[in-house]
Formats: sequence, structure tokens, C-alpha cells
Amino acid sequence: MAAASLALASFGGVVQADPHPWQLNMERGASTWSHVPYDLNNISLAVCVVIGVLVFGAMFIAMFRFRKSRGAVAEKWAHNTVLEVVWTTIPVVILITLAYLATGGLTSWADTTGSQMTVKVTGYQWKWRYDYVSYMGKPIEKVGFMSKLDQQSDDTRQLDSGMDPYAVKVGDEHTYLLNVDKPLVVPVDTKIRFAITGGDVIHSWWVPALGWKLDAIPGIINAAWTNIKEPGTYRGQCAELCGQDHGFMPIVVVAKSKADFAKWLAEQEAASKKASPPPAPFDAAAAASASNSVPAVPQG
Amino acid sequence: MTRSWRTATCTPDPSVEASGVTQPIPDKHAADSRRGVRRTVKILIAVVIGFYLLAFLQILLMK
Amino acid sequence: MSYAATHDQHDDHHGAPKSFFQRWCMSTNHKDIGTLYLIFALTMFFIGGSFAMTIRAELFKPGLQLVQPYFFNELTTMHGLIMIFGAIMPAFVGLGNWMIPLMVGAPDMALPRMNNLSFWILPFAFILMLSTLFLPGGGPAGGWTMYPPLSLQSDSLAYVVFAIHLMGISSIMGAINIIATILNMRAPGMDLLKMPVFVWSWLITAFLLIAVMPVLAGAVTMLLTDKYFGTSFFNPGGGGDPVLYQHVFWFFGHPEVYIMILPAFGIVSEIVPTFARKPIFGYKAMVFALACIAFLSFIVWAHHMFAVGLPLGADLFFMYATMLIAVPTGVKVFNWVATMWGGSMTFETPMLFAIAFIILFTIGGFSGLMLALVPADFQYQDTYFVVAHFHYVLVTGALFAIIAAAYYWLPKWSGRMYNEFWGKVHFWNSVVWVNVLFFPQHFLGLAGMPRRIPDYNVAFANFNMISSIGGFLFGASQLIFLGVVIHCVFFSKKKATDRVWEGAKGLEWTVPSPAPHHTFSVPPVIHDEELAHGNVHA
Repeated sequence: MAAASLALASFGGVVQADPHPWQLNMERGASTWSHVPYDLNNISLAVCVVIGVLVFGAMFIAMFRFRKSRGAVAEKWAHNTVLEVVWTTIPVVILITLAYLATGGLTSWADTTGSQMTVKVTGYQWKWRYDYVSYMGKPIEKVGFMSKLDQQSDDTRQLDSGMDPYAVKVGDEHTYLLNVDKPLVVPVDTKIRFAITGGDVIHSWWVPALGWKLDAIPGIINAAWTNIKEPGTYRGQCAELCGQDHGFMPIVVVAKSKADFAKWLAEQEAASKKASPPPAPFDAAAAASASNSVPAVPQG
Repeated sequence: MTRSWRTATCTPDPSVEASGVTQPIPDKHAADSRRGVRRTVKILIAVVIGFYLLAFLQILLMK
Repeated sequence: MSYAATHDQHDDHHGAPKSFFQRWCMSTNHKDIGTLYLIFALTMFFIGGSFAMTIRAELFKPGLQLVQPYFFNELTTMHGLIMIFGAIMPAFVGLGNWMIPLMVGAPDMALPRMNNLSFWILPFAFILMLSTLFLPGGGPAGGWTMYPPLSLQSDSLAYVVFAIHLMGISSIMGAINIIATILNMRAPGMDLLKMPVFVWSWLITAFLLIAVMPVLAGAVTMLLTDKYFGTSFFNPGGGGDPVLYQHVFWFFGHPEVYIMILPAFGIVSEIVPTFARKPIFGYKAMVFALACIAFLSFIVWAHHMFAVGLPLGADLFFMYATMLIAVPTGVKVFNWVATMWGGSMTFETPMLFAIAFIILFTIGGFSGLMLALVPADFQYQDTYFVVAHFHYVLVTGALFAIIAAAYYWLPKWSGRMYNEFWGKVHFWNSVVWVNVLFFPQHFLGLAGMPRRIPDYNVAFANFNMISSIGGFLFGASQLIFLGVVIHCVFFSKKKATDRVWEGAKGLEWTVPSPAPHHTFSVPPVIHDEELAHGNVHA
């Protein structure tokens, strides 16, 4: 019974936000679109399994039936036009079907219009920055923060730390290398548009539960959207080699109900107003004597 | 007699050495091959240099 | 006899130069140069393999136990560069050098002295590249793909770029040599459509090489000028675009992977008919499929860039074109199976590796098809699913074909039979452990494990441990191969016949085993019945 449920869970279908041990297949995901890669994956896998069974089956039969030690005498034929036409046409038909399904899925992904919220994501070596741009048509002022690997994971991952990765948990969840100090908080049931860019080298923003990843490239603003159905915590990782800590800059998205999110956002806006009072009038003398140093950019 | 590295792999054939033949023995296949190789190599080197030039010229032009 | 009797066979003893330096450093002999390439490739394979062993050792358990993350990135980068440019490609060039003249009845390659230069560039280039590991700042650590801006952060960029230029020049000269040889030096009667499929595969591969190596040269030169000469090709601050590099690189990179597989297809098309004692099914279709695959390989490059943010139309075009390649590739697989069907098969080691190739390469092809579907690729890109895919097609694909070819032709090269029992031990170990190594990586990718990371969440631990065990045992099994080869060349007492394999057909089997230093100094007389594809009508 336990084995059966493990097998079922391993093969997906049950939404689990984190990867779990012995996981065999991807998850259906938590957004309105994330079932698209899941379905395509399963359909194409099924097609491949069927073709594989037929082709490998034929091979194994041949290896048994047509062995010299069994007395098989080699035929001389080397052509069969009908067969060749059939096994060229059938794959084409299968491919056209898969292409049709994939085209529909891709077109729906590419359409970011009608978004109710915009978040800007910037990849840095080796952390993410989230800036809230607008929500429900209203611009958001100064809600933005860096999001980096949580301290416990960071301490544990040091070479020869002697610490146990299995001990890095949030409740029952094993969150080693999948947790951050400040997660991205978003509302459910809202079409959220992401504007993704890079601050130094190419990174890639990926949360499997949302169903897609998109590269964070300096000089380019890439756009994608999501609409999360269920509240929860969704974890991902950087998915483009970006230097020594590429494996240590995870992503956490916390999806709250719209009410909870509105409350959270209001708190953030209030906190940022208190933290940065309106700027003082420009003082030329003070500016002239101020230091000229520029903060150092992290080197690779 | 020391031999140059260029003829190191040749087996001296006494009949050829004796007669002092200095013209190549007629061999149409070898001659055709030689001509063909030269033509092929000329074309391919031109193509390769062309590709390199395309690649590097665009570097200069786009600088 | 299908070749005019000359004094060649007896020439064997005076054929090869006596001095070691003369024979090996100044060689103009396609057989010796072929041997040099193969020994070089085998050495690089073990070096690149040792990097892989360290990688798998680090990934054995979660947590960092062995290496710092930056050095781990150097290891993965060098593993890729060495295996691709130092092991797989030179091995195919070595096989081509050895066999193409023999298969077409030519006395040697068209440009024997350039052939020598092509080879000797490589040890120099690789010593240069490997030496960067010992420089302050270390070797390249931006992946074998060297995407900017990351790759520009490496201190050793100039050395790596120079090494790559050298390797490219070596490949281009080799390709010119191969084309010139095949087009001009075939014996009279060896028409193009009577040539062995292996020769066709190399003819087409050579054109791919000429087309794309200059592109790689351009791409890495732009990296160099961006870092040292003030250009901004890939620097948005200067008006450039990092994605431009990816386009240029993959325009090279995709044909490159076909360069690494087409000769493998050729090898399998030689071996299966021999051991099935039946002609290859659909010879012309096989040749045509090779050409189609080569052509299509030029228009699919952006399937390596689906997560970059390409416009919708581009995504769709590259998806469709990529899926199309499955058609000619499928035709080849079906034709191999149809060659086996109705044959009279025996399962010596070359045939075992060839059959394993067909099955396991096809599995790699399946994951490739899945990767082609863009929405699905959004989840697969940069994960272990991709790592599993390309290792299936490159290790159980290209590498197994190279090993199969080595077993197949070693008796012809050395004049002695290898030990069939140990060959089979090598085979079974390789085939079992390679699947233990790479199959779980599909699951890791689907579960969400990114690639190029030295450490991972504990959920990924189980399959990583299994994969690492497979890696250690697969690596160890290759030492069996080393033993079999050394024993065959130096210690085996079993002499090989000229034909070696009962079902073998073709010019290369008409010369003695071991093949004399000089063969076909006089072009052979071609009898169609003795060729593998002498009587092709469709």
C-alpha cells in the first residue's frame, strides 16, 4: 500500500511543491498553465515507449530467430519499398500530432497580455532581486528586496562543514539549498507578469511548479506570466551556469490568498515609506565633499 | 649514403635506379588523382578562407 | 585475387621507417597517423573520464565533500571540452584515416604531409588547454559552451581560445584531406554509390566540419576581443547582445553534434551487415538519410536556446525543424533492424556494441524528441534530463560505435585476434554500468535537479548515488578495454586471417592482416560481388 502510493506519488499527479526522493516524473504543477509541459511530457513519453517496444521488440525477436547458431540462413533481400514508405509516413504523422499539441501550448504561454500584476526579477551573482512594479493597475512604490540562500543551507554547504544537509528543514520539508531569506510573495488567482533580466551574467529563473523557466540576461528584459491556483510555497533554482555559486541561489515563491497578499503588500509599502523618508533638498557643498567611491561589483 | 627524411619511406627499386629514368612512369589513374586532388584542395581552401573571412570580417565591421 | 599482386605484402618490413622519430613524428602514412589519433583519443578519454569520476564522486552525496564549487565548474567545463574535442572527434578522425584509403582502394590520403600536421597540432593544443588548470585563476569554468558574460570572467580565456583555434584548424585540414581523398583517389570502379556507408558518412561529416569550424573560430575570437580588445559584441553596455554569442556558437554547435554521430552511423552500417551476413537494408536510403540529417543540422541550432526568450515564431520554427530530424534518423534505425531481420547472426563483441548502440542511441533519440517540444523543454532545459539525453547519444552512441569499430578492425590493424571472452566482459560491464550511470539522470532532471551544480537538495540524493556508482564502475570497465587492446597488439598469439570476419565484405578485407605499411600502391581491380554494396539498384 505504501509502495503503491509512493509509486503513484513518484510518478507525479499529486502536487508536491518540493522534489521528493525517488521522484520519477515531473509534477503537474500549481499554475493554470503548468499542466502543459506535464501533459506534453507524458504524451511524448508514451509515444516513445510504444515505438521503443515495437523497435526493440523486433530486434530481440530477430536476435533470437535469426541467429546462425539456430541454423538461420541469411536472406538476400535489401529493399522493401512499401515498408520504407510506411515507416517514413507514420513517424511524420506522429510528429505532426505532437507538434500541433506543442504549438497550442506554446502560443498560450507567449501571451502575457491581460496581466493584473507585474514583478521585476533580476539575477545577480549569486542571488535574486525582486521588485514589485504594479498590482491591480496601481503602481507599487519601493517594494523590492534581495533574496538569497538561507543561512543554514549556506553554512551547511561549505566544503568540509561537517554539517548534515538532511538537518536543514522547515517543519517536515527538507529545504537544503531550496530556501531563501526573503521569498517572493504573490497572490493566487492573479495573472502575474514577470519582467526578468540579469545584472551581471546570464542566470535563469525557474520554479518547476509554475511550469517554465526563462533566462535572466543582462541588457534584455524577458517576459513571462503565471497564474497560481493554490496557495503554497513553491521552490526552484537558478537554471543557467552563472559562476561558482550557481547551485546556491534558489528561488522561493510564496502564494497567498488575495486578501493575505493585499495585507502583506500594504505592510511592505508602509515599511518602505518609514525606511526611506522623502529626500532632502540638494546641498551642493555637501555633495562636493562626499566620497566618490563606487560600491564594488562582485567578481566571478 | 645518408638519405633525406623525404625519401626515408621509399624502397629503392634497383631497376629504376639503374636505368636512370627521370620521367614518371605513365599512370593515368595517378595523374588524374593528382590533378583532381589539386582542384579539390584549391576549391576547399578557397571555401574555408572565405568562411573565415566572413567570420572575421563581420567582427571587424561590427566592432 | 581482387588486387594485382605487387611486392607490397613483402614490403612490410622495409615499408615502415626504422627510426622511431621518423616513423611516428614525421609520419606521412595514413595507418600510422590513424594509430596516433586513436592512441591520443584513448588517452584524452581517460583524462576526461577522470574529471567525470571526480564530478560523480562529489555528487555521490549531498553536501560538499571534495572540491570547491569553482573547481567543480572547471571540472565540468574541461570534461566537456576534452571529451568532445579530444576524445570523440579525434577517434573518428583516426578511424577515418585508417579505413578510408583501404575502403576506396587508395594508397594513402590525398595530402599525407598535411595529415601529419593535422595530428600533431592536437597534443600541443591539449597540453595548452589542460595547463590552464594549473594557472593562477584556474582553467575555464563557464561550461564547454563558454557563454558570455560568464566566460569573460575567466583568466584563462586567451589560452582556451587559442587551443580551440588550433583544434579547429586541425579538423579543417583533416576534413579537406578526407574530401580530396574520397572524391579523387578511389580506385577505378569504386563509384560513389558503391562506397561503404562509413566512407559516405565521413564524406558528409567532412563538409559539416568545413562549414562550421570557422564559425566556432569566429565566436571564440569575439569572446577574446570582447575581453581584451574593447569590443562589445556581447556586452549590452556597449550595444551588444549576449544572445548573439549563443546563436553563433550553436550554429557551430548543432552541426558539431552531428559531426560526432554521423561517422558512428557509418560504423554501425558496416558492422551489422557483416555479422548478420546480409547486405545493409536500403543502402541508398541510408546514404540519403545521412545527407538529410546533415542538411537539417544547419537549421535547428536554436533548440539549445528555447529558454532564452526567443520570439514565438522562432521557437515554433526551430521546434518543427528539430522534430523533422527524427524522420531520417528513424529510417536509419529501422534499416538497421531490417538488416538484422532475416539474417544469420553471430554476436561477437563488435556486433554486441553495435546492437547496444542501436538500442541505446534510440533511447537518447527519444529524450531528444521530448526535448524538442518547447513547452516541455521549459521544464527540461538546463536540467539533468538534458545531461541524460546527450550522454546517451554520445556515450552509448558515439563512444560505443568507436569501441565497436576498434574491436571490428583491430585484427586488421594488428594481425591478431583480441581475446573474445574479455571483449564480452568489457561489453557487458559497459552496457550495464552505463545505464546505471545515466538512466537515473532522466529522473533527476524531471524531478527538478539543474545541471552544472556541485551540490543538491537531499531529495535528489538517491538517484545521484546510484548514478555515481554506475559512473565509477563504468569508468573502471574501460580499463578492461585498455587491457584487451594492449593484449591484442602486443601479446596475442592468435593470428587473424585476411577476411577476419566470415561475413565481411569490401576492399579493406582483401589486404593482409596486419595491413602492410603501404597498400594499394597499385589500384586494385574492383569486383562488384566482393564489395558490400557493389550491386545496389535502389
